[in-house]
Amino acid sequence: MLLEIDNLHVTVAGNAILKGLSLQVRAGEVHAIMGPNGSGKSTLAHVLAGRDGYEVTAGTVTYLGKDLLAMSPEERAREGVFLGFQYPVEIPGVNNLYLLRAALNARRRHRGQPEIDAIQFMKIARDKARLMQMGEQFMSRGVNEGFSGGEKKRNEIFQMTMLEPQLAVLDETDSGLDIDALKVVANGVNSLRDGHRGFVLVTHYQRLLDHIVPDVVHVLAAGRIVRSGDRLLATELEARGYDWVLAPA
Amino acid sequence: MDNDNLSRAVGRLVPDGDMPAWLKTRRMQALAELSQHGLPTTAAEDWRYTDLAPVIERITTATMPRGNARVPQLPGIEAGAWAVFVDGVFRDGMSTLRDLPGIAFGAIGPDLPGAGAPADEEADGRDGRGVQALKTALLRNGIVVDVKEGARLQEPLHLAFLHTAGSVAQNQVTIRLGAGSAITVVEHHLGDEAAVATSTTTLVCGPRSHLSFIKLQGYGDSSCHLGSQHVTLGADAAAGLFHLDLGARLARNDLQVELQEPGAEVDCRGLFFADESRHLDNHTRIDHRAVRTRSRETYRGIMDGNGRGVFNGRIVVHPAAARADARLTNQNLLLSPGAEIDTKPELEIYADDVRCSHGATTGQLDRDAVFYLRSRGIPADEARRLLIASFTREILRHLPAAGLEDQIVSLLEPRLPGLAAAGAGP
Repeated sequence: MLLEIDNLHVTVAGNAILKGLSLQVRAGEVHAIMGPNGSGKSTLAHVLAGRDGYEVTAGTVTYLGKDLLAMSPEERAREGVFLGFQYPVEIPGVNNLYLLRAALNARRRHRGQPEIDAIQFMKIARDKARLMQMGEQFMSRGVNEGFSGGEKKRNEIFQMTMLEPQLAVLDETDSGLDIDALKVVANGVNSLRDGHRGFVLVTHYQRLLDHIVPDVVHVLAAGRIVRSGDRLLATELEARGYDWVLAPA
Repeated sequence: MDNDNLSRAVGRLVPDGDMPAWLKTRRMQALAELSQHGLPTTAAEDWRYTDLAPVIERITTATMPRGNARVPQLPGIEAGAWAVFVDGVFRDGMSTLRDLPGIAFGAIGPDLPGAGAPADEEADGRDGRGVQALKTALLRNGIVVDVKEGARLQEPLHLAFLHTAGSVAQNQVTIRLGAGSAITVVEHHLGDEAAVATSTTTLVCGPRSHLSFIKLQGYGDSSCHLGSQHVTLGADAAAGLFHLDLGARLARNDLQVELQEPGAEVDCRGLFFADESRHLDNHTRIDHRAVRTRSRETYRGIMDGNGRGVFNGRIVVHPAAARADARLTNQNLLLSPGAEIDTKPELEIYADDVRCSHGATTGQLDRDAVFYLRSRGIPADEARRLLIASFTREILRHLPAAGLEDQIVSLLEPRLPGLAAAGAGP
């Protein structure tokens, strides 16, 4: 099992947000988490990445047999967990590729691999940037500095393709993207699908799932998964909204 | 009685020898002034947050510098010519400014601005009468550099104010830019064990001239420093000023800019980094005295450990300055519970039809940004360093010195580790 979440309860500033969430992701699977606003989707993404301010009051999260909740955010990253942010942060003056090489080398050191040199790094970066249709000048700027919303999302996926995580959690990566950008982002994700990596896609809309076909679709409501199904569930949600799923629960 | 002691101690620190008569007279007046008024205390509004007790303590225990004391090395900067001062004395033999085309230089005389002549009342209040008197009493000599009309110097002029261990000394330079001329001046303040290093730089910019001025304050952790720059701008003259305030135990800088004639403009930036138990005080004042004058001012402060920063930025728009355009901001980072900043941007407007704004912000490192970096595998302390580098680089980007950025960043590297690498790419 790649990721096993069991009966997870999380409070934020005293408010219970996740109330007994359970989820299992096997290697190679793509899971979509859908649900109305305020259902706890982003909280789940942040808890998996280790953001502070989220208090786990019960439950466990096991990643590749290890207790994920016991690790710092940087340890999780080095162990192969990646969070694609809904709102990527701008860090002017810190070069985008500098950060990425530092991130990559932190992961390599952790695995006992030698650091990657600048030339080798640039070669890979250029390939991946082409895949994400990012120009050179786009890569030489500060981290997300002056990027449009869509460019920031592409940069997130560019980082992901460089870091090659075992488990990627993408938090509303599709929001604010036009259809062309959505395809580019989906391409980036699909390029990493190799039967081993797992993906958790947090999304509002079904349209992302036209391009990244999920194995399982979950509906998160009021802090719990209330229904799971195959990709057809997403289509149905798109057509009928959430009310019919929520009503019986 | 304390003031008498201070005055006597200052008097003992300067050898009387080969000093012109006018300067001897000025010194006597200054020593008398000092014994009467002393240095400003925290009761004075402009000195409220800066207690000069460490300055007095260092002066009263100092001795005259030994002749064989070790002189700090000049920074490894290739481009440009140097005017070198050691303990406040201009050293022609160590200087290369003769090599600069388009300039002339000589010794300061009694009639020149910044030579210790009694300034107007307003300026006295600003710098503190006592501080001005202290500087005049310490003055040994100084230079005046004239940039010829129309000369546009490609190479920078570096002023090196070097201080040996225990020295108490005043550095004095006046630079006058002829009409249509252009020069970059970099002022280096160095001395790991300087006791009290003071300086007065007077910059007179003629019509349509262009000045780039950078002050790098890098004294040692036990030193005290009192510096000032007085910049006057003529018609359509432009100045870009930058202050990097990094060293010393206690440093106070007073920057005064006078936009004297129509169309003059100035861009002032500063970065002060008060870590450990450093106390760094930046007072600035910009006077808009003519129509269509424009000022931009941004200072950034980083306070860590038990460091303390003080920022007071004052902009005065006089009645004659219609259509003036002024903007002032101060942004501060507080990195530890023991750190402190006192900031006060002030705007006084006496003219109509002006565009002015001012503001200050103080905060901690952005938690979202720290988490973003950590989520990429960057350790927490490294994430913190990168964000400090980001805050710093954003303002360093506006260094008004083409071609010197990399060298200046490398001078900062020991104090701000990772600064150079963060911006340089993979």
